[in-house]
Amino acid sequence: MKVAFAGKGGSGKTTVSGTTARVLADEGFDVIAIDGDANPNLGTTLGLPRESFDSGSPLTRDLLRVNGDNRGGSVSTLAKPLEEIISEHSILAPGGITLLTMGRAEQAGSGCMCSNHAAVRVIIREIDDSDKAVVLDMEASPEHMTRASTEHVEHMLLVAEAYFKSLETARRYHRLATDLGIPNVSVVANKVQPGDDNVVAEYCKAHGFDLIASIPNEPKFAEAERLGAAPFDVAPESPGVLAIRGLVKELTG
Amino acid sequence: MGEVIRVAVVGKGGSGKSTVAGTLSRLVARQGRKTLALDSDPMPGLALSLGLGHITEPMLTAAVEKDLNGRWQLKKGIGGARAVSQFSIEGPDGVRFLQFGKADELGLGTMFASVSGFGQVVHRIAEDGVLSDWSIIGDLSAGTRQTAYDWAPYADTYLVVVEPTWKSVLTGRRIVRLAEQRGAEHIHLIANKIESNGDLDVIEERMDLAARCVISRDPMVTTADAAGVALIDHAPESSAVASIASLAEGLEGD
Ligand SMILES: Nc1ncnc2c1ncn2[C@@H]1O[C@H](COP(=O)(O)OP(=O)(O)OP(=O)(O)O)[C@@H](O)[C@H]1O
Ligand SMILES: Nc1ncnc2c1ncn2[C@@H]1O[C@H](COP(=O)(O)OP(=O)(O)OP(=O)(O)O)[C@@H](O)[C@H]1O
Ligand SMILES: [Mg+2]
Ligand SMILES: [Mg+2]
Repeated sequence: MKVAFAGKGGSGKTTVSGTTARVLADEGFDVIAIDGDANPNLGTTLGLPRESFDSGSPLTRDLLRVNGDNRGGSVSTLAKPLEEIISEHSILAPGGITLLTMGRAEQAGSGCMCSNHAAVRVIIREIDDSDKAVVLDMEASPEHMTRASTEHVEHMLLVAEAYFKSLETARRYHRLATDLGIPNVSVVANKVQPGDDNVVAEYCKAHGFDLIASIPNEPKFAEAERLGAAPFDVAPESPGVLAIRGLVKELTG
Repeated sequence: MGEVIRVAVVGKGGSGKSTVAGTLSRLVARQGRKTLALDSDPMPGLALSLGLGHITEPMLTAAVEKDLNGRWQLKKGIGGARAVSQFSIEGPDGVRFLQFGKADELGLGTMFASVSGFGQVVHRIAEDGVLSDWSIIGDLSAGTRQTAYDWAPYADTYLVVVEPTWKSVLTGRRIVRLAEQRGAEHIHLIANKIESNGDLDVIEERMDLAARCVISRDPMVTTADAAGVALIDHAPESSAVASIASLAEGLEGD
């Protein structure tokens, strides 16, 4: 399984993707989590101590070998065996999760993170997911779709709250993901309050979108955030974590 | 009236950047200043917070053409001032508004044209003498990327919006470091969604800065967003608007 999370700033992409990774690990999957935010912060949600999650080394162009193809284009392959790249660039997170970090904006220096996106695209393509689950957390920017780092993702999950800016953003990502050829695109309603549920459901219905899960507004998530800890560790039985277990069940079918 | 105001509003995703930038733009315009509000986010945001509703047409696509290398460049004769007068649109209180090309159904080609035009405009308006009597308020995209890559060269002041969560503080600290490297003259902490003195203490202590403006968690902000209207029109008497108004007055004195 290879899934990615997108959505408006602050909609809950990191909270939901990090907890999804923890739940998958808990259910026995070998999980590779990729922090695709140029301002990385997935580590805390996975349960790493605040100080340590910055330490994975960035995924850069030198991991790729780019060759011309016979149609005047180019093909990228990994310059080293995947296992080697993963062991050199990852850090180990709670639940036995392997955490890769795309890189930080200020490290790239070139005015864009194009090469980091290229590396992420090829790494995702090369991972054999017959025995692994890949979870990619994206930043609040369509860069991952315009630069095609999500091209080899199987399922795009759009995290949305029940208000216009958030839903409109999800609608635009839906279009980009579909254009990129991602086979499954679904909406995850997040921070759902009593009465909101219908707002997202109706929006999805009106646009023909699949609503895969609804995660309640969960005070325990806010508490975990304040502590700088993983929601999965702070409140494993909370309605919020249980709803994410439900999402995982839908994904693993 | 003091000098012009040139700010970039920055912070973690969902911290409240667009709410602050939109409301501040309206208040600065009401002080009688010529005001330009710039939305650098590739997804919708500032137009709604400013009270312009939902703007779908990409901007600046008519301002650019492809050069011999296939790169989008501003057309000859279109500099910063011209781009703003010709391609920005007028919002409430006379605020002029210009936005980064949004990812939309028109496809990526249009978006790239508009984004390239926008990227050049922000640099042109940072040049000496261009729009020198205009106040400019930029709403940057979430996180550190646009501060790192110089998307607000016109700004001498960074307003770093932080809410009382660890990730928001972490992002705020990274941005402060980057803004310092950019040589920003003023870096102000805006503490948002504050519910208690404890919240404020945590932010100020971890940011190692005193808040220039404190905005309480205010249900009016949420209901304005739910209705898709500007906070300042929806709830002009709200505490959030009052806090941003005092920020606007203070910036005048900088
Ligand atoms: N279901 C929920 N209930 C309550 N709070 C939530 C929920 N999901 C996320 N949050 C809170 O919302 C805030 C933003 O969450 P998060 O950082 O995961 O969003 P994001 O989409 O990754 O943001 P960014 O755009 O900056 O990457 C955090 O304070 C988090 O604790
Ligand atoms: N003072 C406040 N009280 C309550 N809710 C707030 C406050 N400020 C912002 N919000 C809410 O936080 C959410 C994000 O606000 P806004 O869109 O302004 O943030 P942003 O930083 O521009 O987000 P993005 O990173 O997506 O651009 C909205 O739901 C908004 O209603
Ligand atoms: Mg995030
Ligand atoms: Mg915004």
